[in-house]
Amino acid sequence: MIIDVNTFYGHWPFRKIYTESMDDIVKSAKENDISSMIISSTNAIFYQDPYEGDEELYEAMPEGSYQALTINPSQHYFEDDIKNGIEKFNIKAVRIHPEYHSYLLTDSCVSRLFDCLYEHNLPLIITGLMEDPRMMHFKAQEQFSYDQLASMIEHNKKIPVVVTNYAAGNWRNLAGIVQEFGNLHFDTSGIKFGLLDIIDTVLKNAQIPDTNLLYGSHYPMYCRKSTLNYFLLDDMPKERKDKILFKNAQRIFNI
Amino acid sequence: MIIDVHAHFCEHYTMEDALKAMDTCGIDKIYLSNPNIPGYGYPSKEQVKIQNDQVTVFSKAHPDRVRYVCYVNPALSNAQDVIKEAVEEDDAKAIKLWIATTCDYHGIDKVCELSVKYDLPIIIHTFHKYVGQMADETTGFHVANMARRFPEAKIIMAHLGGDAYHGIKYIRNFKNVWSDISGSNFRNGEIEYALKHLGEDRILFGSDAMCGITFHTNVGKVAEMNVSDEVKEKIYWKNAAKLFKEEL
Repeated sequence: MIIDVNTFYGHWPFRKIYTESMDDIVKSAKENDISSMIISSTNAIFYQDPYEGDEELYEAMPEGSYQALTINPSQHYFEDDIKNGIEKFNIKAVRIHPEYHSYLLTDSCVSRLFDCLYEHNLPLIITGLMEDPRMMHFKAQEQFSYDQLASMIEHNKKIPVVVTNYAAGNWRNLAGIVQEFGNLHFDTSGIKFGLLDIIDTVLKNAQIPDTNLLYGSHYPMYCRKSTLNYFLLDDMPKERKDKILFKNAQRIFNI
Repeated sequence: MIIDVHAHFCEHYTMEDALKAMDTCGIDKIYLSNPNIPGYGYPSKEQVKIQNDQVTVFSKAHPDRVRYVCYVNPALSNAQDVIKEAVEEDDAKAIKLWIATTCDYHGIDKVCELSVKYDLPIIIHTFHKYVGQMADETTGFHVANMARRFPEAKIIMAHLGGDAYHGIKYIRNFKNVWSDISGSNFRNGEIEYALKHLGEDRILFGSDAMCGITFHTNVGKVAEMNVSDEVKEKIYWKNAAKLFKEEL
């Protein structure tokens, strides 16, 4: 079993993605034995009202997968959107994009968001960056700092947070936060370096326990098979493989 | 079968580590160079020799798996001597350029002349960046200039130009330029974009391993493509075998 916690649906406006239809996304999942996905809307990142992107996503949602509602916490009505997302879309998480929405993780609106997530028992997904900034011809993204992320976790200990597409080289700087509070997690789309036993080596170097890593592909912006090869080609204890490929996701997203 | 035309020696790993990683990921042969040592972007003659010697130890120990790619700094007065020695004594199969000069620097002429004489492809680190471009880092624009001036040279624009959407169109009309897919990024659709503009015969498999970047992700990039097995085979190894005249 594999759960991909970092899948997107919608139009990516910065370059042509050949496989962005839901049919293509589902086909890719089947080909790669991915039984369930946590899917977010790319359109919701760019619509002034993100909820409209999630309405589109809901209409296209495949059976057996789950929706992560995209919100912009600097918009004061986000709590209503989360309530509606729970009732209408059966969301399993909320996703934010501070890299595009011009607020800091330490702003009071993010504290309000955590209060809301606590009330509804929902985890939070934060995108590190959608694309490598070296290749973004529109300079619209701005990545949060370690300090912001660490401060946010320290002051919001209750809610599981999954940071996606966040370079594994950064994780070591947050190892103390991960170990102390336990609720900060990363996904595999941020892993790009290594020679042998990639996952084991990354976890060891970053000093992150395997309970805090989830399989996420960042598909369809990234190739799914690239990160799946860490599990298909390298030897790894089954217990660790199961945790990263699905058990951690089942626990965090209450699947 | 996979031929990796763009791999690097790394002193942090043993030969056994490297071979094990190749076996794990199904890599049959690598074209190995050693340019990118941090702090040595503009290497001296002595440094170039040290770096190339590290590769030839490996290539001579495993001639069935490892091909020597000679690293050259075109700004040095001995660049031609380095190439001659590499071919005549160490059986070099290609020339590697990194960030000491862009590839349309005037000193590149002497490198191109020898590459044509010895029929050695030139593998050029090519990376256009919107953030962090290095001073003498080649982009697709420079590769096109070089290809125009040296139509008989066989040129490999590495990393699909770093950003395929920047690099590929510069080189698409130059039939003496190939591109390898190597690099840390595994953006979905970039190889398809290159395929659309270059055709199926001018794309080569590369990894940029072993100085950090994985074989795994690059093998996955080709596996992911929605193309025929025949096209995948061309990218994985057939195009490289033809270009480098591999006897298989």
